[in-house]
Amino acid sequence: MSQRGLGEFEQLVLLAILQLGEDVYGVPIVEEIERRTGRPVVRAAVYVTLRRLEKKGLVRSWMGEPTDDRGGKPRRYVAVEAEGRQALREARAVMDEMWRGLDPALEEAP
Amino acid sequence: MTGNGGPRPPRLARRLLHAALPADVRDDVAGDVEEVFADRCRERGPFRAKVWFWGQTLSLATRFAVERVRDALLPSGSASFGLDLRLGLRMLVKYPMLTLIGGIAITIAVALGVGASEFVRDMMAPTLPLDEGDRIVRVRFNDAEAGGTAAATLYDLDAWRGSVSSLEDLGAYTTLQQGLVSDRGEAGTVSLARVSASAFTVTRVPPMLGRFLGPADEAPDAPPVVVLGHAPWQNLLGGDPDPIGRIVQPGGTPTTVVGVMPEGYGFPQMQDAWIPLHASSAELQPETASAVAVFGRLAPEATLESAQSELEVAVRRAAADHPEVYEHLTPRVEGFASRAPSGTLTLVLSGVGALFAFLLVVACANVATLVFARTVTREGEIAVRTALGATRRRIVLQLFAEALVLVGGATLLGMALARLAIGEISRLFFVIQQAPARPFWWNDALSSTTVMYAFVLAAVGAVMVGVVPGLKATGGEVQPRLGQLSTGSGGGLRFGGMWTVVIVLQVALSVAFLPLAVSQAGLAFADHEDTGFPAHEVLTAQLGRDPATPPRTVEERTAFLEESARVFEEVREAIAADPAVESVALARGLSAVNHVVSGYELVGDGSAPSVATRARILLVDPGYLELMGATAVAGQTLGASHFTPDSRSVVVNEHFVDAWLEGRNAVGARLRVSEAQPGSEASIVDVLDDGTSLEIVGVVRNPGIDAFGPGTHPVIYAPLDIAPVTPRDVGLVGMPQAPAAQLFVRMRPDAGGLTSRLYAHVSGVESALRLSDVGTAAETWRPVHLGERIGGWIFMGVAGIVLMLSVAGIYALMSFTVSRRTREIAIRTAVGAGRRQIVGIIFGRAVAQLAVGVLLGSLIAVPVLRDGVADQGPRALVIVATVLLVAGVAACLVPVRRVLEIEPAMAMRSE
Repeated sequence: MSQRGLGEFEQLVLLAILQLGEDVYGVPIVEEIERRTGRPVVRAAVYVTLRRLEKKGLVRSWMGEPTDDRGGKPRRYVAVEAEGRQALREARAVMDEMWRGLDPALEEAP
Repeated sequence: MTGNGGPRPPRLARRLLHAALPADVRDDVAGDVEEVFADRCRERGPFRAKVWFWGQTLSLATRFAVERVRDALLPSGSASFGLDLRLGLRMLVKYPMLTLIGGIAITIAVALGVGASEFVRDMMAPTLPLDEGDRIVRVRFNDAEAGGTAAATLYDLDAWRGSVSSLEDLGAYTTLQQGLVSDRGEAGTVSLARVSASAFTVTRVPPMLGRFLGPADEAPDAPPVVVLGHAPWQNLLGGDPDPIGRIVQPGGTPTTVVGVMPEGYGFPQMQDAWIPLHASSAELQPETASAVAVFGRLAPEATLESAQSELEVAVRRAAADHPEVYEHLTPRVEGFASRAPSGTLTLVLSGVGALFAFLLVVACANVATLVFARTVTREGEIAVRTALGATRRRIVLQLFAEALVLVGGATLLGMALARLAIGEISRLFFVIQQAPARPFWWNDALSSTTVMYAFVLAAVGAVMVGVVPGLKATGGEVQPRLGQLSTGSGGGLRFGGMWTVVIVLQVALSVAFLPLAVSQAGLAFADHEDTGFPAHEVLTAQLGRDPATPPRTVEERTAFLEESARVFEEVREAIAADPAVESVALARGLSAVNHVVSGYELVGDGSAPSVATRARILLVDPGYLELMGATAVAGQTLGASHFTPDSRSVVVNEHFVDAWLEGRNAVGARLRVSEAQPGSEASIVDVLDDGTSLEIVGVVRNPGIDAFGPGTHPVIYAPLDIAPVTPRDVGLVGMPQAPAAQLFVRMRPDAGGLTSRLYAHVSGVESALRLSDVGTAAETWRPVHLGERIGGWIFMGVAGIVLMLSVAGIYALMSFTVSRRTREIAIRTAVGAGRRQIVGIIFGRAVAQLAVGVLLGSLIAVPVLRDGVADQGPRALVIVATVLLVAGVAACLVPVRRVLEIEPAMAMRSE
């Protein structure tokens, strides 16, 4: 694993941002993770993770225009930085390495 | 959507969320939550959406609080400490009851400590939010003869302007509430300041529109001009983009608008309209000069001390020319808004800080008891870690980190609560003080010193909650512990004497002080709706009258006040003639500032010695007592025969009888000025013939409310005619007092539009009259009751926490004892001990602790309650003692069941 090592939830958040493509902000990220994983997500955890990922330089963010339908508050849009993609690739490589050759063993298990 | 008039998220939750989120993500995260809230409102209804919003708020507040602690500690701490913090977080989740109880107790203790110290700081030494605001000063006198302070005059200002170089932009002001009518007929009340032009330069705030006042406007023959604040510009001129040149009428004088100040500007206090302070030549003579408040700015290089000494020289010079005026006066230069010298502030702050630190220590001692009981359940883990090489320091550090998460989270929550509460309580405070608004410098944010204080509290708390139990749990030899673990006899830890003392003291304190708290809270929750009259059908308003030119001599002022009394009577008649009005009453406090009068001697019927009394005096007209539902319960009420100029009859309320006569007959008792406290306050008797006294002719029922607020004080009601003039009203000392009266109008059922007609009735009598604070009696006094209710909630909150901690402590002790003695109980059961015997052995200690605590507490409580005012005290004592005993025994129930379920064979085998 790289020095930086992504946690499982950090990976989920980064992957959700990539899956969503454009105009990504907190609300759709939560929905995307819940939809794909089929399990409920603590919203607060997503925001804390996004803030942390941005501090690590894996994600960048920018503010949108304030809108009336959110009590006049703006959205914060996010996108994955090149470093974020690199961290995801490393995390996947580690997992792939760990999985290598285990498929038959797992299939045999009761 | 939330922005389009749909349901809004709960206000308190929104504010809590705002306070809890870090500034860099505040708007967007809150916006996201509000966006989802709007969707949920549509899909699942507003109630469920609001519950969801609260859940999200608490979740976000907790997560970000932990994140802040993590951010604060991680850069400097080691990675392992970060892990400890994470473990601490897990522990919070794993032991939810401990988290809840400890969290609530510490949160409330911190909120009270932080809130109180910030409030004291803001009240006593606020920072002016102006450019170099700390260099703006106020100048007044210390009066050695009369004691206290005395205001400076226009004469002083004029003299100092030419001779004092340490102060720049010297100026003066007086303030009043004034009706203001726009050229299009919109009417309202403004907080008006008559100011020197330098009031604007001293604050260095430019006008938003037009100009501010200049020296030319101060000339006595200058055309009348006004600078408006943001609120009246919005409310009375409709935010007109070009208001310059429009004519408004403050107090009936056509006046040209020359400028508008930006939002938030309220110099000198909370003013929102400014007219020039004119000084005639008479006002520049030392004997006849008007009292004013003087301000200035310290010149560059000047200090408070240098300004002080320069002014002292100037005043000594003035004293040489006019010894009769200046002999007893010494000047006093201080921060513009400061209410106390810095020494006093430090003293008060230290006192408040220490008091609430003690409260936190008590709360933390209790939480430490609980944490210790929990630590014991992890004794095995600790012993194994020690054996594997973890130092004692390392393990204590881990326990400290865990405590820090709990205490740190609770501290952050407590600070957020305090910040919210300070805003609300200060608003209420100024409403109760009858100020038109909060001072412009009021700032709800916590000062850096207060934040530091909170962090110190948190650190002390974490040491108590984490380190003390940690040291105790890790003391002693490892080897015996491991041995005991392997034989299954449990560790060598004991629930030692320290914790027993904590629990006994806790119970004792609960029993001693809860009854007082409960009875006080009970007073605050008394049925305020029972005002004794239909408060929703009575309109109240302040009626005031200002002189066109300030009267200078006693004769002029007396004449003005007598004329005002006549004008008020005309107003009363004009309003009474309205078909929608059933009756009208007027009441006046003895002085406009504070109605409390002391220094009377109550001469009874000889059955008891005379006593010095302290009561409020209210001058009322014939309709007042009837309208308030204050019917006579002894003697007579004030009738037509008492409303004659030579009448000396007064009535008192039941509170007066309770406070000063201990229930004895009041009718026939006389009030006279006590020689022991001559001239301690302005009094009616001062203006009566020498030697006469007031006779109490009756006692009336306590009205639910009175002209100055809730009817919970001793009051003397005197006929309005008895003393139309009082020394305080004459205003020989201090700021000139304009006469004011409280108006009460009982409406008929179909009284639509009466409020707006009231303004017309009043201005029909005299255009300069001002009518303010118009509303039903119920609305007007609601904030006052709200203040009492908040007090009640605080009492109830503290009482509840103490009770909760006591019960939790007892529960922890019992659980601990049971888990320690499982093996012993099994053996006893195996050799034939009965259930009753087992329960007796195990719980004797808890019952003994409860009993000692209750006994000790009662010993303290009885004298406290006897000397206290609480009638409900003894009953509350019995209730609290019973509740504690029952709750203590209930706390034992779960451990009792566990004991009784012990199967000897199983227990022995598992051991």
